Amino acid sequence: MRSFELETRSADGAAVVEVAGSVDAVTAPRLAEVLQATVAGGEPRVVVDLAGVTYVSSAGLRAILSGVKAARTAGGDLAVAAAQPQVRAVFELAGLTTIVAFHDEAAAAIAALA
Amino acid sequence: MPAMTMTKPAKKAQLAVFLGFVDLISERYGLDRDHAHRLKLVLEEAIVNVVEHGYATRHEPGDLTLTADVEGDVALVTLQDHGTPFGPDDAPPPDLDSDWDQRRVGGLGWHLIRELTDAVAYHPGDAGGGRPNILTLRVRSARSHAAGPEGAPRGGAA
Repeated sequence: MRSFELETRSADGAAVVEVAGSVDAVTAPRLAEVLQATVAGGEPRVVVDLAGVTYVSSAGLRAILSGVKAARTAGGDLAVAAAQPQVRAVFELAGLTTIVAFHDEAAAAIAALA
Repeated sequence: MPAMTMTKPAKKAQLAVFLGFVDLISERYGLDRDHAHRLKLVLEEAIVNVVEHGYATRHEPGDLTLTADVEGDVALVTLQDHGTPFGPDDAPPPDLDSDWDQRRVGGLGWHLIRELTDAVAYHPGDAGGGRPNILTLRVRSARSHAAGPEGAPRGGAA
């Protein structure tokens, strides 16, 4: 059974998008939609909390990258928090850790965006 | 243990079914966590490639057949389809270095496949005739992959 959950909350001027499960070609479009809607809704500072994510494919990378572009274009930024080692490794293989900030915890990412 | 195989129409509505089958492969063969992760990532990228490129221009997509076998620490998986050939050499080179506003995402799927396999073989078919496109991928466990395959260059085409 494939699981995927998304929950968005506000914290200290940032939107925190908590993701859980598998971010794959089936589920990633939902993440992309939420990130775009969050920025379009007036919250250009976004933290994507990946603590509950066990897997990400190139579809998930695209969702995050499109979120980064939207956030920065709107004057904010997007940071990633709490990625598990095997998830972070996929970002590294794709060269995305050079343009997206990764933090160990959501609180640190929120502080960095303030 | 005989190889596992599944054939379904190669369309987006079936993606969840294909990806679920990939999970079953790892469970059935009892792959360790890292090996299962590598295999899943490689297979997802290859499956999506067929669904989104091989049959992109077809009104009614044909089938995709997935076959997987595991021996020791090596998983050998094969994808067969009758869509427009689209192999590793047809994808754009990955953009791993551009600034955020210029960064392109095309080609990342094939890039990940190359990084996580130690052999990729692609034999294009005749685009809808009787001869299928055949993509064969060899995925080792993370530990043995890091050590390097014997007798075959990492990432080399078979």
